[in-house]
Amino acid sequence: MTFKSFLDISNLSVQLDKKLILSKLNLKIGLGEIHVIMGPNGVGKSTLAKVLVGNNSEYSISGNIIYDSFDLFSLSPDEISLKGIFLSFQHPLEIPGLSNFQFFKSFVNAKRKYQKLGPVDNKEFLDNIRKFMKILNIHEEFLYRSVNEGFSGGEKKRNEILQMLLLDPKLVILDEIDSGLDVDSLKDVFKCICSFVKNNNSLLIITHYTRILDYIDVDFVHIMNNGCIVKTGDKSLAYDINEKGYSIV
Amino acid sequence: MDKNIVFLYKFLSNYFFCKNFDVSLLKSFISSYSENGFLKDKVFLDRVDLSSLKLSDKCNNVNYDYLRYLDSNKLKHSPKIILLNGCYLFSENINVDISINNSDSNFFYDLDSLNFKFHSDNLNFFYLLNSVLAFKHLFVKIPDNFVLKENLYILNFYDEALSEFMFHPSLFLNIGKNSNINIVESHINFSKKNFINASSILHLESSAKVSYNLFNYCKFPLLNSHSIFSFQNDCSNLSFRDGFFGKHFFKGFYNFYLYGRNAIFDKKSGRDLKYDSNFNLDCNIFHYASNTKSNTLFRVVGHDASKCFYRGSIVVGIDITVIDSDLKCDGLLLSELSNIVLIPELCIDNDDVKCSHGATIGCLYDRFIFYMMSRGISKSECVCILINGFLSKCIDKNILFFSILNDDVIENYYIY
Repeated sequence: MTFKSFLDISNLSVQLDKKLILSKLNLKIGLGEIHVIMGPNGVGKSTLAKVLVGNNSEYSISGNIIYDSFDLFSLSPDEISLKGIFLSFQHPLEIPGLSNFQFFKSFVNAKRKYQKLGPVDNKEFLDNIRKFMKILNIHEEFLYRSVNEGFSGGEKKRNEILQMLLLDPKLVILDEIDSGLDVDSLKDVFKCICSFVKNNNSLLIITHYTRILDYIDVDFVHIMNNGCIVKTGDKSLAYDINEKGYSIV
Repeated sequence: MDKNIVFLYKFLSNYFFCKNFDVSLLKSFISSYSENGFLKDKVFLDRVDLSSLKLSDKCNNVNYDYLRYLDSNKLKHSPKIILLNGCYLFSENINVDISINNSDSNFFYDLDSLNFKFHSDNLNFFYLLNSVLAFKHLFVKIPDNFVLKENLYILNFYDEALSEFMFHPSLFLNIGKNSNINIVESHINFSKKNFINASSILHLESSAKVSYNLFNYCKFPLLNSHSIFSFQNDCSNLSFRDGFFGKHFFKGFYNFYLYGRNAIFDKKSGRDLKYDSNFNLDCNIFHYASNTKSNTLFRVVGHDASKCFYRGSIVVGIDITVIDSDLKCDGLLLSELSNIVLIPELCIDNDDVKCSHGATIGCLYDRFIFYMMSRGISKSECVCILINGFLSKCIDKNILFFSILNDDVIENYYIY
């Protein structure tokens, strides 16, 4: 790949209560690239995702993260989102009392405000949502339910992807998007993701399973262990891990 | 909601209390009111002789020569009616003779005596504007079998232009049998010096169904008190919503009596307390008949150095059976200096009842805020949205509507 890297993580170390979670991690992601991070439980994959979107208040951090020429550590989570990074949460939160519609409209308007545009037109907004909901096989009543409240695991993940489509970010981090999804749901979700990355968006997928490789072509597979990337390869590396386990790295 | 009320509200709050009131203001208001196309059909302008409006008395407060206005406008078949301080102010094609006694300090409205078609599909809105005479007593008798599609507004404004410093506005509402009505009562105090001791007394006849929304806003921290008494007869249904905003030093006594069998009471209250507000409320639900139901939810948000004391109780009388009652109160603390005390109580004199009560107090969790911020919403907006979510269950949209009408009242979270 000859794309210019627009996410550059160098020597990233993250510590929580004297425990080192990430240790001098280095990773570069170019525009339009799809990266997969795999690794055993507890090696810091989700921590990396959280730090990338600005949830770093509880950690001691050293190193650098440069995204699109911005220093990510100087930005708050909302600023990071507005600059185009989106995290699909492993465990999306339930927010009682706040409907999906209100939530979606709020963040879409926040983005439009950042882009110096006026508030979104209701009809246009609804049409847009309905289009995405159709692709994701989501029923319309879902819009008026509280955010993730009472949703099944699959519905929560679809909700995350719907938010991604509405925000149209440049870099998407999918933290275990495949967990909790049945085969059909996984197809729907990755159908959306594949059409999304055609627009030259970059993707960082955190997963334990190689089954997602059936739905999307990835450029790089990284194996994480002990808080850093220990091996990088193409999709064949993921199949090796699937077959032989993490002992090979 | 009809946009007419926006204009009316702004007009009243901005101009009505000026001592040197200029009739031209009213004229310009009416012009803009019409030009903006908010009136669905052609209304009073053709018929109203604006020159008949004048400032007739400056001694105490603003007063209009309404009688003259009314006399010169005998209109027929009105779909729109506004009652202001005991007088019709605007009307179209009204076919009714009204006798109004402006000299009396109290007003009595017997809606049955107004012989227009309440059930008409053309009845778009109906307001009681109790503005400059807020310290008067207001008696409203809703006739039997009365069904009003739109809200009945009872708006009370208090301003420094009023000569009084203490107001005791009382509202007596008698709702007839089988009536179905939505009422919005507001008390909006713009003054630095007014003390308001309001009381509302509701009497629901058999099978009456009432949705009652109370909105109270204070711009300045003054002591206010509000007493509410409701009496419900057989099979009546009262849905009560109230919201208090702004700076408050408030003491309230709410007593809801279920005297008739099969009466149902539902109360949801929301409070958003800021600065050094001090809020104290006693709320009692008395089940004095069998087969009655009640459901009470109180939610409060404590900002800054605000204090809230809420005591709610369910009282079930002796030999009263088959009661289904729930009392719940939730607090959301947003400041280390804020203080919320919630006390749910049960006082039950027999065994065959089903009553539950509970209280929770919590704060906004960082993980919620982070989740929302990760979608591009600023932290302050996240807090506003979450507060809105917390209170939205308790506060009727009609009440929220009032809060967005005035710049002083506007709160960011109401826009969502």
